[in-house]
Amino acid sequence: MGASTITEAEIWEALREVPDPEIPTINVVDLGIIRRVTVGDPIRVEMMPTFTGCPAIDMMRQDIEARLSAFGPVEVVVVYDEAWTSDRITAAGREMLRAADLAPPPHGAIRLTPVPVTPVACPYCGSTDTQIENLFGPTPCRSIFYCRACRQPFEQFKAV
Amino acid sequence: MRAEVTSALGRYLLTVADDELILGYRDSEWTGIAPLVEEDVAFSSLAQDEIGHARLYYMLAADLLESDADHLALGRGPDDYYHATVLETRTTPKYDASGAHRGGGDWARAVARRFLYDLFDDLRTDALVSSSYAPLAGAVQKIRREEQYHLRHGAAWWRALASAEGEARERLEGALLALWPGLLGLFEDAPGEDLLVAEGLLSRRTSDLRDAWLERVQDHCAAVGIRFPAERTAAGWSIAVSPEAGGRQGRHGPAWAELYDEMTMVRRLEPEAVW
Repeated sequence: MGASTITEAEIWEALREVPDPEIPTINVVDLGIIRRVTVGDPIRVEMMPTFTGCPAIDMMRQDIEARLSAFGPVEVVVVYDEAWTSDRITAAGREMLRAADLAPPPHGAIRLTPVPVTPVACPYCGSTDTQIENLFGPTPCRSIFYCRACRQPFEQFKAV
Repeated sequence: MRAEVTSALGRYLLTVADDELILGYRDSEWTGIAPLVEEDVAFSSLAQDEIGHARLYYMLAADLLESDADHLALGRGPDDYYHATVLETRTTPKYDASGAHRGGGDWARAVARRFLYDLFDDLRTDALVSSSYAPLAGAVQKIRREEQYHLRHGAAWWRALASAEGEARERLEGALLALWPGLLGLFEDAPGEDLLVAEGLLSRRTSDLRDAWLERVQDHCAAVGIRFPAERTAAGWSIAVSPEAGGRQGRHGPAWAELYDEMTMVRRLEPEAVW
């Protein structure tokens, strides 16, 4: 397939098939980490990391290159000049996080307060009778909560 | 950018990156031995964030200095690291293969150093967020969002230790006094900061951040009733001790030799390895 016959929409569609390596229910497009796609030789994809210390950055770059290699040469550029924020996760993406039993992040910039202002709904039972256990979690992008209603610990994708 | 400005900015960014790398490295030593399992998770995450920030600053510095980030992080000689000396000391018990891990560990010192450093780093990144060098301004905006979690974590532990009866509070007070000269050493300028301010790359010199930091720390001490080790007089701040300077010039203490040796061991054995 020559570069002239590929459309940008096709590339975006293909990127929707690239899952996040840590949370495979969500793809890189709905996670909001793809900033720009430029069809050309090579095909150029700009990727914004969720957290600067995320160890999955290189893996995601390789997964994107592998998926798009059928279209021709690919260059994935990791960009840091603009901050990814959790508001870039699409509405569909928020549902995909729930499918992984993760509470989606609240909308809007975080505020410096001892406890999160917005009540976080438990992804298992929906109750907002929850408490934060740890601002940090098993990956840089997650916090740990406890649901008092169903007595289940759960994780939230951080607002950032 | 003129050559002298490029090299001053590269040198300044190494200072920032080295601070983040060295604190990240030392805090990662709590993984598995923090006093609570939640803090194993938290300190590991804090350390991972800082090392990620260091990597980003090294990438920016590498562009300016025509080097590469891995070399800057792990390939320089020990006298070419510019972190403040307060960040290089160990807060964990030293591992002993015989199983006798005794002495030297101090969680309160780890908590105090991290929180008081983060208060400093918040002021420093604020001085970079509107830098005329767009890649730096963009990167710092990202870093500042992540740092909100660090500050929140630090403030919670500061209150928790100070409001506990007995040993926890005594250790926090002791840590503040022991760290004090070293913390003041954070405010030593890197060479060329005047030029960077004149060029709009940096809004304030590192030394100009000190008074705002002292006020913040004083407020956090007052909030929990801990004695603050400086006094404000009509003539300005009165501080009884001399800052532990030299780090920004590449002069370090005995803890650095051990840390440098350990941190660069793999790189020296296998220079082509990538992280």
